[in-house]
Amino acid sequence: MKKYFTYELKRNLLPLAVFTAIACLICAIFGATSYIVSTYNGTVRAVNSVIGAPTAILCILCTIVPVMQFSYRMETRSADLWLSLPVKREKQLLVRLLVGLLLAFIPYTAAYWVQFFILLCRENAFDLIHYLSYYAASLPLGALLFGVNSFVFSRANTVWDGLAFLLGWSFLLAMPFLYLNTYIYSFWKYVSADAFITYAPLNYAAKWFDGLICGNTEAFAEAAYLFPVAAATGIGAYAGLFLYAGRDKAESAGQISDSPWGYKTLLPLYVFFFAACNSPDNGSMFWILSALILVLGFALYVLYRRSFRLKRQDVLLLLLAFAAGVALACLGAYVIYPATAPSRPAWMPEDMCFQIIFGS
Amino acid sequence: MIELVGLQKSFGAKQVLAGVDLTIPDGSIFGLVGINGAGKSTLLRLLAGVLRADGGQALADGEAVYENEEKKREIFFLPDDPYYATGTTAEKLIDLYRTFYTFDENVFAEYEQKFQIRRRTPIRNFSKGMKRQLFIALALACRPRYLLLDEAFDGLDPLARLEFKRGLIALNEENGCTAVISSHSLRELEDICSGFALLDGGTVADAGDIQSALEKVHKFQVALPREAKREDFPFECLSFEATGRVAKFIARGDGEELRQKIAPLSPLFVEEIPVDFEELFLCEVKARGYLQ
Repeated sequence: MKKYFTYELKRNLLPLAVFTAIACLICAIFGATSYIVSTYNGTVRAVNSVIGAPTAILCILCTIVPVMQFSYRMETRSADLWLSLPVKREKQLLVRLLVGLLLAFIPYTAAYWVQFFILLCRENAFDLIHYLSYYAASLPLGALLFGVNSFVFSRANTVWDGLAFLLGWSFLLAMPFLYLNTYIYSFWKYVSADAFITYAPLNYAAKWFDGLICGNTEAFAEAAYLFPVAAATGIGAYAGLFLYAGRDKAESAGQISDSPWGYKTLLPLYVFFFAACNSPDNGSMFWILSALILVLGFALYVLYRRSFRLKRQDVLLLLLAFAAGVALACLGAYVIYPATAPSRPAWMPEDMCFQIIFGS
Repeated sequence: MIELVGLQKSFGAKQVLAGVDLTIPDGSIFGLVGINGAGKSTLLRLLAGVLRADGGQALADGEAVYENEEKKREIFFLPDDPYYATGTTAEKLIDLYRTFYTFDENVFAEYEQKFQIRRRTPIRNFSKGMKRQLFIALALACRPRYLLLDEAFDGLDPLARLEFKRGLIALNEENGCTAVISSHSLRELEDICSGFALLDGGTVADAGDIQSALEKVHKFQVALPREAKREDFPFECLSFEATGRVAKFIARGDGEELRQKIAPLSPLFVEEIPVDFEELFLCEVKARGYLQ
């Protein structure tokens, strides 16, 4: 395995160098040019720790690298080569995971500390120790994100399907909370839907540590549920990767992605939740959005099946999911919301769901 | 020794292999033939451990090949269209195979010279034949005990084919390498293979020694004093064609017995023509209704 690991590392030296160079350049530019302090009445105050830049780079790397490392099974010729080699699939997975983590974290680390040293050379009012603590916190969070993206991407049989799965799973866990945010008055103050996007743990951690570095200590209420969910999904994803390593079929390469972790689950669930969040109180918008949801649902099924001839079960599932979503929307609009909202304040728009989905 | 015991494989609803039983002796060069879609590539992939069988087993020296690292180190699989990433060079492929196999640099250097392989040129710039030459050189340099080749001769010029056959025979003689070759170039297979298996209908329709199979079949050209018709020849023919008074046919059985059956027709001349492997294959597939 040591020989294979060394080979895999050597094979990825060029991408590693390129990623590191680009990441360092971007973070150096951000570090050198960002507005980091404000002077008011002679008081210098830190306003921006710029840790958002390396965090964004880590998120991008934790998306791109899994695609690079796990697309080998998605083309027949490539699968023929890698699966005929005298190495067990679990071992191959482990080596690709380890090298992938290095491919993501070495550029991130280099960029992070390059930016740090640039900021150090500038006039700053930072609580510098928290740069170290954020770095330490970002490593496990990044590793968990990497695991989730690796698992989700590798459930597909083609690269494009894998990218679709990544996009789908990024927001899926947020959808139930979007529904609750829509219909339970002020629920969003306690549990925000965006906290369940897969990139949220890093995003929220970066925001909190940004505050710490700039000397603002604020409560991090979301931590109570954000990190346990991230840990559970991340650990589950790594376990899933190894569980499926021996089960994945080589002949699936390039075929329709039929995994229960893919379109089969994502499409009906998204149709269901979008329909559920489309409040009947929206008037004519309700009908327009309902039509849009159905049309998009059908279009995505066509994309899934790669044919306009959909299976009967697909059409039934789509319609069932839509109907269930509409039923839940009615429940929300006519039962839950009136029960939870004492009265509607003047500032709260009537079409709250529309606002939340499409941005206020 | 390679043993296939009741090997089954389906892709969705399509059953490709429906119970293949085959033994390939050690040290043999074995030809795998069949029409397109017969399951030759599938069988090779099962033997290489790329695919998992739905039923039955693919064994090498009594051990199952699938997910068997130790056994797979003795097996080299060269598919019909080998994979390489953009920017891959021969040097990078050597690095890859050296990681997993005992790579003989001298053997590769020998073929590098014969085939004029450029180590540092991206493979995407090679012609089809040059790519094939490179991969054959890599396969031979890995000195495997079991060499699985899918469409081995595809794209090779006659000189390259000769070098390849020589290399294969040398590997067979020096290392006792067992080679399983799937190819539509039956003339080439006839040159080097000792055994063969014909895949049809998901099973092995015919198998054995090539020479023995050819000896059981005879091709005659007969000139009759009158117009030749099929009814004149009262025995089963694998193929029959008549042009005027001359009939050409291929039949199974003893050559002398066939001559005795022809004698009553008072032929003007009877000539036995050697049957080659390709003709035998065509007769077999015709008998199975594939060629009308």
